[in-house]
Amino acid sequence: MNDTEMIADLVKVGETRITESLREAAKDAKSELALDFGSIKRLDSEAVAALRELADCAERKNIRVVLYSVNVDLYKVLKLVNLTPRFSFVNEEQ
Amino acid sequence: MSAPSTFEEVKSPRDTDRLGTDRIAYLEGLIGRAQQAAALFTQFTQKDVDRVVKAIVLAGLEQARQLAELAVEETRVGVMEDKVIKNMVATEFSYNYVKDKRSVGVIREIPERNLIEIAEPIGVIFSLVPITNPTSTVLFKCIMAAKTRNAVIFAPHLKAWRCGAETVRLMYETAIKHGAPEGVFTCVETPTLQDNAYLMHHKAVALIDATGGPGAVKAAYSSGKPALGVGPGNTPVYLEKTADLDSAVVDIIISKTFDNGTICASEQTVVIDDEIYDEVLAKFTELGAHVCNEEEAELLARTVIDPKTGFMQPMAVGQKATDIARFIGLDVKPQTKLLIAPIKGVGREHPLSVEKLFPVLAIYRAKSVDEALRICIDVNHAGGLGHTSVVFSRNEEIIRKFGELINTGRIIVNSPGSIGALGAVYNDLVPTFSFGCGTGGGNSTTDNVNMYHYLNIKRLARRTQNHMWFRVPNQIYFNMNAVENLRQFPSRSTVIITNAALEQIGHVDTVRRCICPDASIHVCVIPDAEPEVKVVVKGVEELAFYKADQIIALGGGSVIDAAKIMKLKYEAPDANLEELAAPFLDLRKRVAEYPAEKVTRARLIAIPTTSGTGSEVTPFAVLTDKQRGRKVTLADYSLAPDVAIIDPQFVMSMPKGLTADTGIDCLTHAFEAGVSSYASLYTDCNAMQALRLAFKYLPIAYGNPRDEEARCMMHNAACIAAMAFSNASVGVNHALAHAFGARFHIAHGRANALMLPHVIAYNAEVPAKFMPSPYQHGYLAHKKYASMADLLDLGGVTVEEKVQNLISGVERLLDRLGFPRSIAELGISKEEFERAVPELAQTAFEDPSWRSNPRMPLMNELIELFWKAYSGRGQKEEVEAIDREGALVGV
Repeated sequence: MNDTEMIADLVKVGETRITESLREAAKDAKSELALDFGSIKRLDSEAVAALRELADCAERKNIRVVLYSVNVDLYKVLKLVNLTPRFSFVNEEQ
Repeated sequence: MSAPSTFEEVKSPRDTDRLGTDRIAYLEGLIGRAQQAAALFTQFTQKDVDRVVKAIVLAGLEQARQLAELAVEETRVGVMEDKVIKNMVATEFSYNYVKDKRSVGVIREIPERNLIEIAEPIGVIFSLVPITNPTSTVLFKCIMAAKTRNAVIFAPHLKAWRCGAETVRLMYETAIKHGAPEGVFTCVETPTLQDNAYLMHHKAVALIDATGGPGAVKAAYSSGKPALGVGPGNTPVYLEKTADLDSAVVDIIISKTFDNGTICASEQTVVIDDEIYDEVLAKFTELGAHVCNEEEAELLARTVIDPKTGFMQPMAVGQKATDIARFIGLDVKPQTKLLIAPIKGVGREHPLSVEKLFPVLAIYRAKSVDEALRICIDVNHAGGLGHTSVVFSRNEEIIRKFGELINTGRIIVNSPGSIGALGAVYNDLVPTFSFGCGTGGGNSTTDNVNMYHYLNIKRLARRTQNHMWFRVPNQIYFNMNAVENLRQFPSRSTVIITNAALEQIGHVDTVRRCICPDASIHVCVIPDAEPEVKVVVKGVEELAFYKADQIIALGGGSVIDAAKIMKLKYEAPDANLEELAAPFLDLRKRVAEYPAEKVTRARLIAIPTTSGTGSEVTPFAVLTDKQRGRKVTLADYSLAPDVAIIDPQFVMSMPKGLTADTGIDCLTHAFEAGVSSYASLYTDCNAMQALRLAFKYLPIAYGNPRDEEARCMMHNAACIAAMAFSNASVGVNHALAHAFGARFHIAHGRANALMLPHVIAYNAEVPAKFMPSPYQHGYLAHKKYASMADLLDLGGVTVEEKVQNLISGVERLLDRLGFPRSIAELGISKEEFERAVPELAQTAFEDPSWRSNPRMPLMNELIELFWKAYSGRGQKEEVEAIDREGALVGV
């Protein structure tokens, strides 16, 4: 993926509407989905459920989901709920 | 808390086989929610957590009565009013304990130890709740879990499920309302043994907190999961004759009747001193206890204790004394609080000597303190190991003795057992509803289980800047005629320890002339060899005979070493040299302790007559024990002389061979201290200066023994190098030389010389095995050798070139001093050496000298080094040619 494509496909996940953002993104996704988590500071159980749904949906549609700028605290939560193997992670520096 | 348990039959994971798929899905759902809640909880700050904790505490307090009523109504166990107190203790007292404590992120900083403790939640906890304290236990565990950001799946006792589940619901809803993650507290609906087994073995469950009967605890521990299993007790009480009897009797009644005796820390058997027995019984009776006669006691025992198992009957648990009495047909007063049954011993023949979670108390009349303590031990071992015990006494000695003898996690003094053990009411124990019973009770802790048991405490251990040291005698006089300084030291009786040769050539007279005129002077002549035990013994006798207040050691390393040991034994005759010579790794942590208390004191002044060993300033002394055929090295700064006099007049007549041998010893000290893993800024400057002086002046002193400047500088160099290695120690060169020298009777300096170039090359390589060294940052030996080459102006651009030039410089110096350049040159055949090498390597490996070597020598490397020394370098002619042309670099 080159930079232009990455920016074009990058969907910003809103801080206040995580669940909705994820559901919308899942609906529209085709071959690859890039989600920017840069503004997300904390997850709640709904968000985790939405991420699970997204992972299920992506697996069904054979879509790769890349999560950008997930902070390490969120990454630990995703690790503890066994969601990390179901997504790809890219940091800002990458 | 101990109680009949529904979990007692849970024995193996096979029980889970009987679970249907729907039930498994249900349990998996609980676990999934708890797991997610625990994960989300990790994001919470301390403030978030404390907000949730305070809210659930307040909710618990508000509902304390309702929950107590529910518990009594459902379980028919205990006293409602007491259960209210329990619920309040579980909330208010627990909150008081946790409220100001940190449980998120960094929870403690210990700057003086460079340690930081960081809290890591456990995750999902599976918690068993007993019938005896169903609501208070849930309240307590929810507070602990919320404080520590854990999720809990509760499985209350079947007969306490409704009240347990209601308490969980109350806690959960309040917690959620205040921001806790969904699923943080859940309760298994009508849990079965199979459910519990399934949950106990589930990989997502991180900890089992089993408060219950022995079966529950055993099942928890058998699951292979980390578990807090808190099981049964059998509390012995010693009511000793000095006790405040009024207070003791009331305390026992309070405790044993509290919630009808359901707290497993409550008193079970009271052992009463004979002298006060009747008085105590009268007081019990007066305050509402019924003391059974022999027949009544037997009837009681038959009824409340199961004769088959020897344990209490579940139906009696938490029942009133009057109800129990009525049930068995005892005629007691309506206000009877407690049934007291005298027993004559402990064990199956005495059924009432076991745990009884109802208001029935066994008592025993003891004829003596010993008998009382014996009975308490018996009770303790009859099912109460690790749990709780109580002593009432004013005799501190007896209280302490009781504490030493009885194996319980809580030893409650002059207060009620049950409420005392709960903590924070009668004492400063941590408030709890789970009593750790230690290994005696099959538990992993003796603590009152608290929030810290719900945390993984991580320790961030920063590298410590270890304290180092630089210790040398505080008075060192040097340069020609420095011996004149002797005059300033007052003495009434001075003993000069020396050897015959030095006396013959007049050195002793020179020294004698400089001793203060008031002193009577005695000379103790010893052989010029490493000191033997018998020499030391004789010397100590002379010191004692002359009541020496000053000892002057005039001689080489052996004489000074002898004087150090003589002084040690003279000042502390009981010092055990064998013990003091015990091996050690770190001087500050070693096992052997040198005597601090001295019978007498004498000043030790060392005047060296060779320029090499540096014994005049070192804390080392070698002693030969010929009888046992071994040498021992003593090392302690108390051995170092008080004064060193480095006067070159005593070395002007040293023969050439001795000049070279001792000079190379000095050079080796400087090299090894310079690269030692204990090297410091303080030792480095000494090592480097000694190196510079020795490289420059040793060949001159060797070539022209009467050169006063060269002699003076080499004498100083030896002392300065010794100051370095006294504090930085030596290395593998010395270990090899000690082994080789001892085996083939080769002078120490000469043995050092044979090893030195090879050891420099060896240490300068990338080590096969690095030596752990808290004092050094990174591997430095090659760089330090390069600095030495720079100091000696040996040339080279890269570190490798400089090291190589240093080795060549050493080789040339050794050649110039006429040293044999290989072991083969000493006339030792290859076959003989080959036979000796395994033992040499082993001896070198056991030598403590290499412990400060920058590179950890492996056995095969020691062997290789010996073989390199055997073969030598083989460039002698070439160097001699250069030398003739006056181009010996750096000299």
